[in-house]
Amino acid sequence: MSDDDLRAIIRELFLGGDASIPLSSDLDLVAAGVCDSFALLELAMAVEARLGCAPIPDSDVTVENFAAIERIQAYLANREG
Amino acid sequence: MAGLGQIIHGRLAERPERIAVRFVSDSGVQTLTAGALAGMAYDAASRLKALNLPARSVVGVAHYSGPALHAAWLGCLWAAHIPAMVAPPSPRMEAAKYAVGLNVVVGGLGLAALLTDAQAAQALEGRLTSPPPFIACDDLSADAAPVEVADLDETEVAVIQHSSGTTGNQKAVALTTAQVIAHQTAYGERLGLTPEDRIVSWLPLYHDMGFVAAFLQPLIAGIELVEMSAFAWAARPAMLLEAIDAWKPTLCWMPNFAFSLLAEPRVLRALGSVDLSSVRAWVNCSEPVMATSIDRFCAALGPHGVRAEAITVSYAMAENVFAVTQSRPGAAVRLTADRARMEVEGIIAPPGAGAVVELVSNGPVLPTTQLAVRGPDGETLGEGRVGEFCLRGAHRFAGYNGRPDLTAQVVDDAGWYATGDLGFVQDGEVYVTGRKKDLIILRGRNYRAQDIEAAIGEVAGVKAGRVVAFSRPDEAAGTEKLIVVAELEPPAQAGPLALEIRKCVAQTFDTTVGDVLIAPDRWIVKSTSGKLARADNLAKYLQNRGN
Repeated sequence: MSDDDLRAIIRELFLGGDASIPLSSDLDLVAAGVCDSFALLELAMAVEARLGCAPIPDSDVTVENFAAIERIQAYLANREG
Repeated sequence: MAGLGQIIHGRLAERPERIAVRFVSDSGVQTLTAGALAGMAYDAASRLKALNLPARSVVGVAHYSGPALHAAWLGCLWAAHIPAMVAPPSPRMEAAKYAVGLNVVVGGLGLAALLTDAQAAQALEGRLTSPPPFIACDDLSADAAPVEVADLDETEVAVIQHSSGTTGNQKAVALTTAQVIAHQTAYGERLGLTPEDRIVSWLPLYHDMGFVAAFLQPLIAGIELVEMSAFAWAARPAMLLEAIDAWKPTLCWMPNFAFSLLAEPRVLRALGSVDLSSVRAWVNCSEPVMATSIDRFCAALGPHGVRAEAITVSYAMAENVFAVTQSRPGAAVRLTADRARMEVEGIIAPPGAGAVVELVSNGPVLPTTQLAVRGPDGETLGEGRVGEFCLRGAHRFAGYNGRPDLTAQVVDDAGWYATGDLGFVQDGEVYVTGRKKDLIILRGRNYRAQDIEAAIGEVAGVKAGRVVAFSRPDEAAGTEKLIVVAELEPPAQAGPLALEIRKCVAQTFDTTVGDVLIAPDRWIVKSTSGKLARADNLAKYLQNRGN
């Protein structure tokens, strides 16, 4: 999954699909007010659905693992490895 | 009657070995006996006494949840001071912005000291204009030597709790022992509270719902509390359900959004075979109650033992200590009415040919409170007529601390407090339909629209004075959705500006904007007097977004 795929998911879920809002890969989505920490589980489920992968354990859905595009990528890479 | 400090002291001394609080976290459970809580509170009281503050000073308590928070508050009461819970810095908020609000609290209350933990003290270092002495309470000892517990008259102000709102804009509600006890007695009777009851809560203690229902109530009634931090719960909402399964509590208070959230697949998917049947009353409180949220909650968690008759509703506010109403367990009443007649004429009529509105009753008024529904000219309205709720009675607050001017704005000569909430009474059941003030309630927390607008007005790229904030019910989330419309000042770009506005709201108010509309010059409607016309702007916004 590319950064742009994740960007599209985040825009769709939280930003009404608005493509003009810049989402850098290191942007902290919670600190930037794109979503709140409650919504990270929703994001994790959307990522699972897109990847068709096994469920991500709730305990992994933390700000450290899911609150930025680059953190999600690192988490997914780690998980595969 | 003894003072509140002595009443609680006596309660804890009855059975020092009983568990007063279980603190649940993902790393385990920490138990605090009544005796250990008293010991830690003695320690906090001794530390405060060493400062030699004048008696009856107002002292702030800004701790994350945990034994130290409970003991620090109690120690303050026992040291003959007036404790006030203050929100600790949230991880998401900028320390500088948090300090702006705290400065107002410190000055407004004339805080003589702040009991806090080392981490929060460090975050605040150098940020307060006239910092009171900080007392770190991370390391209170359960074996501290007893101190003499100060007594006070039941008619003296015993505690201060903040009205709901953002730090710095809340009002400091002063309560006497007599008011706190009158409320607990009436509320406990309505709930049928017994010593076997046990409360579970993730609510923060600096809001009235958490402070009264999940802190004062178990202390005064001598019943056990199962507590988790609001931050930990937000990160993993299912931990509440697991704690219920493990510790079998009987009572649980939550704002409406939590009922929706706990019914979502993302929360439920990893849930094992938890048993929630021990909870005999779930209390939905602090934000508008939605029938859809309750229905989803019951449908999703029914298989786990949640019974529809266990869902109750309360209408509450800090100015009445807490509850104005509370429905009786087993009797949640609903009413379907003609929407247009309610919204346009303020009359509750049976459904006609047009759209209907389904309302959930907040239950009958407590016997200690009188509720009047007033029309625009102050006239008292009868059943089935929408007006402003005004109340008085045995536990209406003593006043806003040190601000008789503010008190006089809302309490009339006959003792009626005008709540600003709109609603009606039908067959003795109280229904809340809206509010007079431009108040936005997000996940049980109140925000004034003008505060949000003022903060966004400072964002570079937003045209001065050209911001409007309002909210819409969000049925899916079971709360309201914050909407911001701002006019752009070139050369700012719409997308980056929308992100800056989101950042500003997150860092200033610790909440999330649902939608930002960046509008062109002169989009926002103002009234002839130059005031924002929120209803007109909302209509224009809905049209723009295709609703």
